[in-house]
Amino acid sequence: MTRMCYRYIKDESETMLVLNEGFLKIYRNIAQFEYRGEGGLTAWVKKVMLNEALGYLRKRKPLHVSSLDESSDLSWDYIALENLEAEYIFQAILSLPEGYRAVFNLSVIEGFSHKEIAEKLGIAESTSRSQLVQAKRRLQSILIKEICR
Amino acid sequence: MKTLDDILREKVTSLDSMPELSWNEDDLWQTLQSELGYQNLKKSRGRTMLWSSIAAAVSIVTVVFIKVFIADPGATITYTHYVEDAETAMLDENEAGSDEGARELIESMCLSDLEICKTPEFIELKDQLDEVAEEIESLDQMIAMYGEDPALARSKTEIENFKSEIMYQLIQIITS
Repeated sequence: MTRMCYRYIKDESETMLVLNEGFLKIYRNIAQFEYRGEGGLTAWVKKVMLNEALGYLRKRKPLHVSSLDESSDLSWDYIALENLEAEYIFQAILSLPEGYRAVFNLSVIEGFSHKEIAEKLGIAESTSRSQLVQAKRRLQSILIKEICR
Repeated sequence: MKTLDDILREKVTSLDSMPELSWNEDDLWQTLQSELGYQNLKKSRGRTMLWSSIAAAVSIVTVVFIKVFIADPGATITYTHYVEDAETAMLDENEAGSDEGARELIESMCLSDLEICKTPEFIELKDQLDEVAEEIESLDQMIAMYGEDPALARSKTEIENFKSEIMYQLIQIITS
């Protein structure tokens, strides 16, 4: 949960506050949780924490997003990418601007659709798409440097 | 075949179970506890402790007071309060002055080589008078230091009465 929140917030003390708020919500609303099989609690906790992290981003300031060209000609070296350290990729994601990072995390890591992302972040679907493309471009340029070393 | 998203997702989520980030857990729990009102509970516990300590201290002081001042039957002291008018105060001053005058009279008569002043009985009484005068002086110093303590005041009264008695006997010897 810490890692997940940190991916969005990128600040240790703020992440701690978000975790704190999230766990309080879990504690206060635990009676509402219905067990529906293995992994249900984890998914529920993850959902609460994710909402909390996104809520934090929304509250702090309007999410900085920029409308950019959606076209993408990304060409990745998948094998080289597979060999990269997970921690390096994690740090590369953290280095993305906030708007890119939020959309990238929600789309690629959490698996939400652009429609869902648009609802969660209060942005247009098209913006979500363009942010994702830009996030991937930025990420690619960062990771290529490491791959080429 | 794995997509780019799959690779990135696998890599990143593989870190989720790893405690890579270190947090100050004490801070986290402190924040949680304060949010849950634990701090208030702690404060009220602190207040309870404070009042318990005060109650215990008062109890100890009360017990000591009872032991020292009330439980000892020999230390029953009766206080008398009266308003002294100016005339009575002047009389007392005169009385004190008369004591001093009597003493001066005794000393001046003995200076004139009076035979009676050399008798053992007279010398003994004179020595007693000097001792009593010193005793009164030291009692006055104690009263000045510790205030009007009832025990000191009682001692002073007794010793002054003894002094008057000695002086009376000395004057009787001289005038006999």
